[in-house]
Amino acid sequence: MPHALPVLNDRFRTAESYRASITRYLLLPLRFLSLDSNRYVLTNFAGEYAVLSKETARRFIRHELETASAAYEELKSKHFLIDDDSTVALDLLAVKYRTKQSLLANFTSLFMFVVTLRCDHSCPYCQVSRQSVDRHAYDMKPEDADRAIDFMFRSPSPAIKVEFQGGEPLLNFDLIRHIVERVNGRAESQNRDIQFVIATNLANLTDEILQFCRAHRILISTSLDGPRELHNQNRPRPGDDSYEATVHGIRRVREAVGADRIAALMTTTHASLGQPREIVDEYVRQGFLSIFLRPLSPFGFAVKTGLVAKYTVDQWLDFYRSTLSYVVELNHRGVPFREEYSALILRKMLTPYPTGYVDLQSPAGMGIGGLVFNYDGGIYASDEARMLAETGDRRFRLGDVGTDSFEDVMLSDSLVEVLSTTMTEGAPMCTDCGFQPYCGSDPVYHYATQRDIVGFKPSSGFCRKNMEVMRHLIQLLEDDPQAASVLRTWL
Amino acid sequence: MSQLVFDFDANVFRPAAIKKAAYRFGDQWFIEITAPASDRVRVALTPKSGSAPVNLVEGQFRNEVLDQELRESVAEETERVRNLLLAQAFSGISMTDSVGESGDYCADPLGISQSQSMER
Repeated sequence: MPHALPVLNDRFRTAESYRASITRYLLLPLRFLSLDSNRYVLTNFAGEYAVLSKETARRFIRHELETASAAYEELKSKHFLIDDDSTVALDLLAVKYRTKQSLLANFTSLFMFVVTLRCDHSCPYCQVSRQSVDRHAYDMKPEDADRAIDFMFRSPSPAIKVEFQGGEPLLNFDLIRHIVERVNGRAESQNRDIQFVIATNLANLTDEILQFCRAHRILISTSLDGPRELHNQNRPRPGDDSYEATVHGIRRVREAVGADRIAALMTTTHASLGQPREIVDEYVRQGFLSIFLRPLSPFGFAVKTGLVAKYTVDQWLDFYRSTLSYVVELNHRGVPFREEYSALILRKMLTPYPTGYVDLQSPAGMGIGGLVFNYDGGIYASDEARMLAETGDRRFRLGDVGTDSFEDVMLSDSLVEVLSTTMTEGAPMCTDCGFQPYCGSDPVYHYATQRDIVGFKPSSGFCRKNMEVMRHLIQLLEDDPQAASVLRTWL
Repeated sequence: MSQLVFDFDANVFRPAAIKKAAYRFGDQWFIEITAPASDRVRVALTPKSGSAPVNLVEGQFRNEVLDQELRESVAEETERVRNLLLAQAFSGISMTDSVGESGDYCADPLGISQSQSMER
């Protein structure tokens, strides 16, 4: 009879295994960084983390950790080490890693159609360019839309998200209708799962549009920056009634399309920084269950108007921490509400699943995560990439729907070289960073801010923001049981 | 502006650890790394502006080198298993369990099918 099953027979360890001893163990690949002056965060190959005192971590790495210690058990169960007892650890770790990277196999799944550059708003922080309402030369032509659809269906992804962007996309609703009907016609025969999203300010909503959205289960994504005064200050439009139009539109979408068919995004301006509670309260008042805290992007008008320079990354981080703290407080008062950026990072930290958020991917999400079809048929790696082109820099223009095939674009040097050069697995500083499994590469951001696609991380705002958000979340999970009990429900 | 110069024992610290630490200080300091002797590595820091925190920088730099040295030793020890894991994760066949993909489903090398109850 075989001597022992490695798992089933070992219900209790022998007394011997509880005596203080140091057995031979091997380190598995890991990264670490300081959580604070006394502790390190260690992350393993698949992104699981452990927090240890610096002294314990150093003993562990020097192979001096005692087998009977709690730290040893934790590190062993989380695949930071293997010893003679470990039988399946490597297989399991490889599977976990593959699961985390599994979105790569599906390739591009998000396609953004810029159906027009026209817009009725004149937001000073707009990261894209806009044209006045009557300039139809800035509408996408139906024949370019058809070519873009052909291009999109070359992607092998079984699930495709089509997002309509602008300008204000509802100003060219006829083209949206054309694209939706044409895409649906093809999706059925190809057995693809299609989701449509319209990113709109809601000011031009009509009953006809609402009916169409309901019939095609279209999601609406809108912008709500906070209470009336703040929102109208951030998002000027003739009549100064953006807030009224948005709030009224949200109600109409809920009634006509469905309560869960609308989501909102906020953009943080200098004026938002002092109002974390007021902004969250506005979201709760409007019936939303979550908010996505976004700093200004350093592109387009936001740079030209000087808005980006009005606050620092550290000021935004203070705002983020205050808002998160208030959201946790609301949950304890019985109001279920969450912050989405934290939630997606927590999913990376605490679950084995990948997240599709394009800004935190390595290789970068540009092109292989999402693609933009501009109004003129130009194909861009991201929204930010098309903005750079509008300001004269065509570095990330990948092709044109009129002349380039899916294969041309996806195999082009201008895409593949950028992706491989900027992978965080090999980028200076990122390669050693304990948060590498949760973070990503943003070549367009670093090119726009530092003229370098890899980016110099010691002075990168992207790096600073993400490091501190991640550090804060781990501190809450480790040191604040009240907050942790809320954060763990957001997965 | 004054330059800060300090040495590391090359028998204790790898040059790679010192260079990686230096990279992290590159936002506020100009850095020069030299080897004045076979067992010494010398670091010279010159502040890029008046606001660079001169008082603490040597201690911070030395702590950072300690961290980097630890990272280098982890990377060295785990390089082979990292490559194995990557190969395993992205290949269709099992490289860590030779039986896993081709084994006979009737085989029972661990005696799982046999009753455990008599042994307890």
